[in-house]
Parts: sequence; structure tokens; C-alpha cells
Amino acid sequence: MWNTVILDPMINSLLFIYDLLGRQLGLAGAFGLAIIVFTILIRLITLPLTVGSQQSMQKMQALQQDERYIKLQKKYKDNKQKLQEEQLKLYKEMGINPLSGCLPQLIQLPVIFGLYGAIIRALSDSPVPLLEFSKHIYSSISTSIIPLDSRFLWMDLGQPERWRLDFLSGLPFLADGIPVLAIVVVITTYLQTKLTTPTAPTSQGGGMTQAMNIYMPLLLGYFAYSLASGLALYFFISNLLAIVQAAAMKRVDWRGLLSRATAVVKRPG
Amino acid sequence: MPPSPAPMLRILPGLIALALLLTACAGGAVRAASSFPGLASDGETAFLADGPAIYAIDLGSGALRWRYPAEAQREFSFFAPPVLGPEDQLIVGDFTNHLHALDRRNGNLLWGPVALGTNGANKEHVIGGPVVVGELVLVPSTDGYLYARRIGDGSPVWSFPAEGETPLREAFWAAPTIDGDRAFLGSLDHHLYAIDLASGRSLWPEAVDLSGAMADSPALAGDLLLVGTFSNQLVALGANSGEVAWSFPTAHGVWGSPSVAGDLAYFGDLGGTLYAVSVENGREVWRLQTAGGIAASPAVADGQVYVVTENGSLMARQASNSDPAWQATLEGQLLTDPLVAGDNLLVATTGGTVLLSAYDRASGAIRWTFTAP
Repeated sequence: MWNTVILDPMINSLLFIYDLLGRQLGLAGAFGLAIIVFTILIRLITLPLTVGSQQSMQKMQALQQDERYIKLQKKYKDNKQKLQEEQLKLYKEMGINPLSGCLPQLIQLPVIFGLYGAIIRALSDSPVPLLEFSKHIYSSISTSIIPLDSRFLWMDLGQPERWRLDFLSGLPFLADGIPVLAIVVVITTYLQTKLTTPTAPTSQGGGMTQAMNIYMPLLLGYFAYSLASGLALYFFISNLLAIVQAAAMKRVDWRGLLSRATAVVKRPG
Repeated sequence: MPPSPAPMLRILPGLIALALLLTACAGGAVRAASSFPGLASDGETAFLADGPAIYAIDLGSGALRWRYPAEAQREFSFFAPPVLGPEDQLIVGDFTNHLHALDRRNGNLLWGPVALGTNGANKEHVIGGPVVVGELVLVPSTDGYLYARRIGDGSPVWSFPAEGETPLREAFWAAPTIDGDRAFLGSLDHHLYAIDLASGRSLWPEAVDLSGAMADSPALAGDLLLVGTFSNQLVALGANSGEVAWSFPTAHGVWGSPSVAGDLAYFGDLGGTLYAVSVENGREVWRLQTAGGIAASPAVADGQVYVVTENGSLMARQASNSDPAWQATLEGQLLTDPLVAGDNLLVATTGGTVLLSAYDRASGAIRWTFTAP
């Protein structure tokens, strides 16, 4: 089921793009370019979900100012369970999903798992994994593209990325090089969540969103540091696209980035 | 306002679990690296390269004679088929690009481990078996070089690079095929190379591009080289000219070398079809659809062809017309070339409890099995 619905389509999409860019157009670093094109496609496919989620979050922010909501907070301030029940009723009435702040990140999970599986299989460098990989390839894809060229810029996309500098080779933690991409992923994930995810500080959903804003950069940074750099490339491009997308929708406040804990979302209308 | 600690702490275990899950499910931080067991025999002993050790197994009883190294060592693993050298030598390449020479009577190390290439113990592998030619041992490496070393001490003689400025890391997975003073070598970089053994230089003006990766050795049939490719074909080329004589299209990629007996070549594809084609013109004589993919080369002896499949089937068929002789099913995948050793047929298993099985070639009766001690 997982292979049929997620993994195999991802593998074959990557191979199709790789074939097009590498063999047909003769571009160098075709697998890295294929990951970038694939990321753009994933962003486009999930665009309706992202937009819906943004709208839901806007409603959530508006709710914070609603008189009924404020009254509930006061009325049930000593009865958390009852407060929760009443809040849920209000959310339902107003068509709000309180966990909507997490949704854009949560929908990435199957993509991350699938893409990582696709990358490590596509870049198999020994017989048994390559044989297993061959079983995932659709008959419409030419197997003459095997083995794939895993190089992209200074990276081997099947290995964790490090920028190797000779003068750092004596240092204990940097002997293997600087994890440039992991650092970039942490920074761009932080910026992306900060710029595009509004929170409601007093609600449970808001707290969760703020927690995600802190943990997601660290989590994705850990993945980028320790797993195949092809996945880190996906994180980086995906973050950039999310920021561009939010900017295009006029849902970011660049000036408020450094001075405020959360991004300001423009109120509808 | 800072986030309240409750949701933060509630999310944290989930995220840690996610990180562990992704790392574990994906097979660790880097790509998994493994290969098929390698198998060779000197008529009395079978030598099996299977992960942590080389096992020497008595052909009569299936008993272990020795293993190398005596205790598993993290830095070495073995998958390439060992090769017999002069004076009871057994030469083995390992999965960290080293060469070892053993005394095949007792498994004692004669010389080595000798690092191949300039970067020694690294991510490069010896996957295809070494080949001994006179005073040379030729070792194909995934680093894109064929290394010629002296048989006496492993010292370098020459090295032959795959073509291009930046050859694919995974270039050479197969042993070279020797014909007199020249070697023919298929590569994952889609090229077939002809190399002069004296100088280590290319014999052809340029390597032949077959538009598909080659994971196993070419087979020599008279003046023709027969080689299977991932681009769904078996190709026959003139050994002198490198010009394509004929090609035979297959339904799927061809991994294993063809086996030539008489005027027929036998080979399988990854879709599970076993083919018998005329060496002379590539005309199909018969084909047989099996239940699992075929990655190994078939073995042919005494009018029978023996083929193993990925899903554990071992089949003996009449070489002339594919009529069934006998069949067996084993636990695990069968990816290593089956080996004829006297009246035994040796079959190595990938991912099964039993590492090696010996069958009576005539009847299909099992004689012994070997499991790791």
C-alpha cells in the first residue's frame, strides 16, 4: 500500500524528471535538479491544503477577539475541562480546526518519508539495494538511466552533506566538514515558520503551533545533518517556496520578523 | 508571550519518535550497502564470501574447514567471489576496497590487506571477483578503476580508469573476462572496455557505449563477447573490433552474464525469463518464464542448465529444449551464480538461514547444507 500510493510514484516521478533533465536536456546535476522540480510540484499539489490551512488560522486569530470566546475564558477559568468542551463547540460553530497551525507541517510527513525512501533507493550503490530498487521502476521508465549520478554541486545526494575545508580537518567536530545545508535548513525552517505561521498564544492550538515553531527547525536540521543530503535539499527548497508562496499571498510581515514572537497575519477584508 | 511548556513537552516525544522512525526505517544515516555472497571452489573445498567472513567448506561433507578472519572484524566484510591463485593462494577482495591473499589450506593470511586506490578504507567496494592471470591479479573496484597487482605481494603494477573526467563511483562491479593477453570489462557507466594486460591501456580507440549499465562480466564465445545490459538487451560484439554483431531484446534488464555451451547462450532477465539464444546470430531457441527475477548467471553442464531465481527457486532444465529435470525451493533469495563442482551443484543463499546448499546435479537430491557457525 505504502509503496503503491507513495513510494513508487515518488521514485518514478524523480526518475522521469531526472531522465528529462539529464539525458534529454543534458543538464549536469540532474538528480539535484530533479529533487528541486519535484519539490515545486509537491508545493503546487499541496497548495489548496496550505491555503485552506492559512484561512483556518486567520479565523482562529479572529476568534481571539470574539466576545463569546473572551467570555468563555473568564467564565470557565477554573474549570479547564468545561472550558475545553465549550471551546470545541465554538470552534465547530465557526468552522475552525484548532490544530490548523500544525497542518502544513504535518502534511509534509508522508512526503518526507516517501522522498527519503525514494532518494536512498534511487541512489543505491551496491547490488542488493539496486536490485530492490529495480522492482520499483515502472515499465515506462527507461532503465538505461541506471545508475543515477548522485552528484549535485559539492554534494553526494545519497550521503549527508558536508563542506570540506582542509584547514578544518584538525578540528574534532569539523574534521568531516561543515554541515552547510543542515545550518541553512535550520535557518530557513525557522524563518518559514516564523513568517508564515500565526499563533493564538492563549489557546492550546496556539501553544502547539509555537512548540512546532521551535522544534521543527531543530528536527529538520537533525534530519539534514544525519540523512542523505537529497532530503536536506528538499527541505531547503520547500522552505524557500513556502516563504515565497506566503509572500505572494501577502501573509507575511517582514518587518515584524525580529521584533515579534509571531508573524502577523493580515485580517481578511 | 513564550509558549507554555505543556504543549511543548507533549509534542517533544512525538518528534523524537518521528526522528528515530525515519532514521530507522530508512536504514540508517547513509545508504545501505550489501551484496550477494561470492562463491568459488577448487574441487575439494567451497569458498564462500558472505558478509563478515570467508568460509572454507568441505565439498564432501559440508563441514567448515576454516574461516577468515577467525573472529569477525568490523572493518572487513566480503562479498566478491574469491579466486584461486598459484601455490594454494586464495585471493579475496573486500567491501572496503582491500585485497587479501590467504593460504587456502588453512585460511592463514599470506599478505595484505592491501588497500586499493589512494583512499584505502573508504566507501568503495570490491564487488566483482578478482581474476588471476599469470603473475597478475586483476581487481575491479567501484571506485572506477581496474587494478593490476602482483600475485606475490599485492604491489601495484598498473591501474585502468573508467572513461570520462569524473567516472561514476559505482563503475566496476564485475570481474574482467580474460582472452590471452587482453581483458574485457563491462561497467555500470554503460561502457565495455578492452584492456591490454601488458600495459594496462585500452586496446580500442574508445570504449564501446552500450547505452545500459553492465553489472556482470562479458562471456567469450569464439570471437564474440556476449554481455547483458540494464537497457533490456543481450549484445554480441566482436572481441577484436568492439563492433556490435547482433543484439537480442529482452523484456527486462539483464544482470547476470550469459553462460555459453555449444552454440547456445543461456541467460535470464530481471523479469524472470530464462532465454536460450544462438551464439551465431542471436536467434531465440527457447524461453522459459519463471516465477522470480533472475539476477544470477545460469550454470550449464552435461546437457542441463541450472537457474536460480530471486524468490528462492532452483531449477534444472534440459539445455536443448527447457524440459524440466528437477526443481527445489530454498528459503531466502538466490542471487549468486550457482556453481558446478564435480557432481555437486552449489547454491548460495541471500537472507536465508542456510548459507550454502549442495545438490546432486543429476537427481536434485540435497547432499548437505551449511549454516554460519
